[in-house]
Amino acid sequence: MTKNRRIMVIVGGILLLLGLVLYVSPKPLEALGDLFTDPLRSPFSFGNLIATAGILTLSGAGIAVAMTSGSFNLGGEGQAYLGSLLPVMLLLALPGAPPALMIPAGLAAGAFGGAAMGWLSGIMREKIGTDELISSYLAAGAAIPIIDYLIAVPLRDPESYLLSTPKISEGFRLARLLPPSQLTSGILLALGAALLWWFVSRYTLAGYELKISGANPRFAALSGIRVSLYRSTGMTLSGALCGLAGALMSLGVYGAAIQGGTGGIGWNGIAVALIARYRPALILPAALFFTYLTQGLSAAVMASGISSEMGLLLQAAVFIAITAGESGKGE
Amino acid sequence: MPDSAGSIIARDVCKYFNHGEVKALDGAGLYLRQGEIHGLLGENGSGKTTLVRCIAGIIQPDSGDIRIDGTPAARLSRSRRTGKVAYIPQHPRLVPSLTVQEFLHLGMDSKHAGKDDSDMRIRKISERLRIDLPLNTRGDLVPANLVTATMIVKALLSGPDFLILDEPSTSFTPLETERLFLLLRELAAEGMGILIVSHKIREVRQLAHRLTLLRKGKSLAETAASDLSLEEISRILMGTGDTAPELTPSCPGEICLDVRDLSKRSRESFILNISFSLRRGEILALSGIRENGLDCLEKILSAAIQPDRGEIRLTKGVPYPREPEQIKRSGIAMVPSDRMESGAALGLPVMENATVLVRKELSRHGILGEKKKEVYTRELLSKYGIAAHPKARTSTLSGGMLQRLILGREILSASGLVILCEPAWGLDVKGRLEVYQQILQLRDRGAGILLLASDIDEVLEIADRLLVLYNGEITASFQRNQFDHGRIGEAMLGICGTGERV
Amino acid sequence: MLISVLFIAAPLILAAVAGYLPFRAGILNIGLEGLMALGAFFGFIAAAVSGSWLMGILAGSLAGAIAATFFAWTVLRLEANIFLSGLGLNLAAAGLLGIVSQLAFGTKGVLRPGLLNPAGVFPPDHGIISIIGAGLAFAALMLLMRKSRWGHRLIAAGESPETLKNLGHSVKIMRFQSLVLSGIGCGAAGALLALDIGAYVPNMTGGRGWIALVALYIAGKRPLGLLATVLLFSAANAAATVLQGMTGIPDSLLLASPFFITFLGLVVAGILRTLAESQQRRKQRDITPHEVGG
Repeated sequence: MTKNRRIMVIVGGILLLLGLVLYVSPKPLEALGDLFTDPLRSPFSFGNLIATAGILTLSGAGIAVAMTSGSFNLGGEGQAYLGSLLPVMLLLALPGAPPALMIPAGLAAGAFGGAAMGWLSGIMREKIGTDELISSYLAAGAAIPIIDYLIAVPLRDPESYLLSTPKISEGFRLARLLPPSQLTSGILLALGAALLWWFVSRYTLAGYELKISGANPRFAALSGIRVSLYRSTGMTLSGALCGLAGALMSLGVYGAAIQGGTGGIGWNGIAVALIARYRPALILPAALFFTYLTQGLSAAVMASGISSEMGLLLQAAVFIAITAGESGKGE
Repeated sequence: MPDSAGSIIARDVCKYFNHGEVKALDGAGLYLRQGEIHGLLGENGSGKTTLVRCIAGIIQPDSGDIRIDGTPAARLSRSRRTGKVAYIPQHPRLVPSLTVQEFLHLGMDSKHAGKDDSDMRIRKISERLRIDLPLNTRGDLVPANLVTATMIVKALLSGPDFLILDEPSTSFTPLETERLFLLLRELAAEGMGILIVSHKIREVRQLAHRLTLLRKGKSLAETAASDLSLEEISRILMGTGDTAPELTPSCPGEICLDVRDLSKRSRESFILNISFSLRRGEILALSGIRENGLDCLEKILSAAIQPDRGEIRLTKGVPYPREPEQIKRSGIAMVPSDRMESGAALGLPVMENATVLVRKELSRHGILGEKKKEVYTRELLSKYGIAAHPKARTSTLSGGMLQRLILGREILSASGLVILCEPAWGLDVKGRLEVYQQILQLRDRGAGILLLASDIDEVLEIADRLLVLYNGEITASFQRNQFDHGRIGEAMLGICGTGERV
Repeated sequence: MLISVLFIAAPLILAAVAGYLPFRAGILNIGLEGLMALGAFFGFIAAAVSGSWLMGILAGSLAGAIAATFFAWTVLRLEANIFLSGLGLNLAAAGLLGIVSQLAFGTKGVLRPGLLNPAGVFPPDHGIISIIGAGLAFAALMLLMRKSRWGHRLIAAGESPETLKNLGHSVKIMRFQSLVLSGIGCGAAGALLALDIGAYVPNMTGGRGWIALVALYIAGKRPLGLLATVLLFSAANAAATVLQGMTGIPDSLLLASPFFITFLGLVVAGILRTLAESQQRRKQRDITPHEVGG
């Protein structure tokens, strides 16, 4: 399929979405204007833009790491969700401990939860040959209702009007930048992670072997690379990054794990990774671009109440349009 | 213009692959009449299968004229073409989950025949051919010789005028081959035009009425089968050449690969009691038609399959690796003939692919710098005349350049034992020169090189010693000073092996 | 108890049958869930407006067929990645349904028949129709795959596409047809679901499409194995519901159980398969030997 065809598909997708926006809005031109300007309108929206982009940078990087190592992580939603719960549980259990210790510990707990889930899928693939695509999706599908339950019942904060855990103490939360938005110093972590992945991928021996394992496993094996090790490491790291993304949310402004709060981190992460074509240097820009689009689209259709659906459609469009014209990546 | 009714005529057929890089057919032609058995002969890579697939309509030629019963083939609809010309490919496969009977019914629409009607026809044909098909056996359990029988019955079900068989008897016993030929004679006598592609010169010459000889994509001769002697056929098919160029004499050292009584019988080919030794500092070539055992040997050496009997040992009696992943770790450089799929990661930049074998040497404390990769890659690229930027995506390389890269990478980083399978494949003339030069330098550096090559010219160019494989066995051996293009060709085709008998 | 198991199983069986066809043809349709959701929505609307369950099923099937055609186009013609395109189908379905529901009915929540057709009567609960329908669909599948030439061509498309091409048939067309049929089947399954419940609830398909998918993955090529797997899951589901009634295990855990069970099923299948493979490898490393003659 020619490159032109590909661009046509992408443009077609964009036009469809725009068309939908125009159709749905009572004041179409204003809506279009909102689409482009809303994210920059105020410190609130701009801060949220950066904050969300940061979170998606983490999960996008996670998905990209998995793909680079030859695996498909479909469990990002569950990994992020678990990653948002574990730090809160830890921090609520030790309220007196020093923040300098606990904040990193909390983040690590989140990463660990996601990593465990990723590792499970990876090990299942290597030992018993089950597609990590399906096992990661199922693991997430099982984990999410369970965490929903945990948050709604045993760990519930009775005073909150949201279904969430009690809030962790102020001292444990990440420093706020740009109130009243969600932006916290966690953004630095996201930047750091993206940078680290870029460095590892480009300049280290391990990153090199990981890339080849994913690009052509047979070739890698014949060259003496331990493919199965790298593949499962890829899944583990992927889960860790998604878990970390979830941790950033609950250690952020709200300071608790909210039921459904991390919704979309996994799927949007896939979209971001796709837009970035899995290249480490492009993940951050892709996350910014995607978040911008999503926020814009949501604002544009605010009046008609279908904001969240627009997000779903955008994801779908990205999945289909970006992979159109390739020959099968993934199994 | 010969009478075109009841015939297939192909003229000046050209076919390129890989965006014009590989010229598989260079003005090939064929004239097959109904009622005639026509043999299409040629060595590996001569274009036999490509030509036949063009005629059968599986692929389209880039230029040339193919007429079936006078009508240009391009104008025939797909179903009409398959109705007239039945094609049995070289390694036919049934559908694993379908029984033979279901397979035979496949593709037969109820327009043409009802189910009972088809069953009756199947029975009639099977009786006629004296073939007893295991109708209720699933495709994956049918033994190899019956697969071909099934394909023949299936081909005949549509009542074609022409039947094309591509290397049908490769894995047959002489008895089975005899029965097949008997059948083909009967069919021809009834008016069917039969085209049989084969490398078994002797047998086909006896079977066929006429022969077409292909070499390097060109039809070099078209005669009555009896008009040419075996030796003459051999000269035409394998070419003639000057004597081998002078090489610096080799200084063989210790044995680095020792093969004793190696035997293997697999579905597609076999080898029997192969024994040879390779020493460091020499280039030993094993040559022959690939189906005569070369491909089987290659699979064993790449640890894809295990031999039935015999032993392979490395230096100091260390056994040969049994897993593909261990080959590299044993210090063996093995370049398979199908290196395009498993030889590179096309989505990555050239320098990533180029440095894979030296990645540990180039890195320090786990850091593998871009500069170092680039420098090494540039060295590799210049040694082999590959015009590319180290950071370019490997998929942008032409096929020939990619081959040079894959081969070059192995040769550059090798020491000790090197096994090269069909290095000439995919290389143009210049590429071959570059590669051969490097191979010779490698040999002078003390590596032991085993060459598995079906291309005589290649062997003559660089081998110190040559062993010919025919029918699974080593039937002739030549030292470099005994190299004779004609006699080697005859040995490969099984026409009185000369030289020292091993 | 048996009836309740069958009742649970019916839409699953339909979805699994629907997914079996492209699976056999060599294409994995991940969008079963989305197709069912579309079928449920549009089937419900048609049933509420017309008062007939037949209309409901037809509408659901049609919706599924259209969506599946679009999906087939993206995968076969645009060559989009099949997994991502399937996921995209699910996401798009969820998004579209929300949008249509909001725009047409002013709500994204539960839709009751009265909303659409205050005067009309919604078709009464015909649970038995689901079960019969599923049974018929399964029988049709067995017949199709065992006896019909189309079924055999489908198998060839999945197992030996080259051979099929040599015989002059298009593998793409077989795959396309199987995808459209899977859309019809899943759409009907979704419609049946809505008819059974008597309302449209967002996300009412609740992972059934995924369970059908994993059942396919576990059972492999054998339809009977597929039936057994689906029945097993349904039984486990029914047992879990009963257990919940008795011990008060919370709803959420129940929601997790289909995933859990299929996860376990996946593990078991994987272990069995790995054991079988290493056994085979120990027997012989090459293909079936043929008689050594002369």
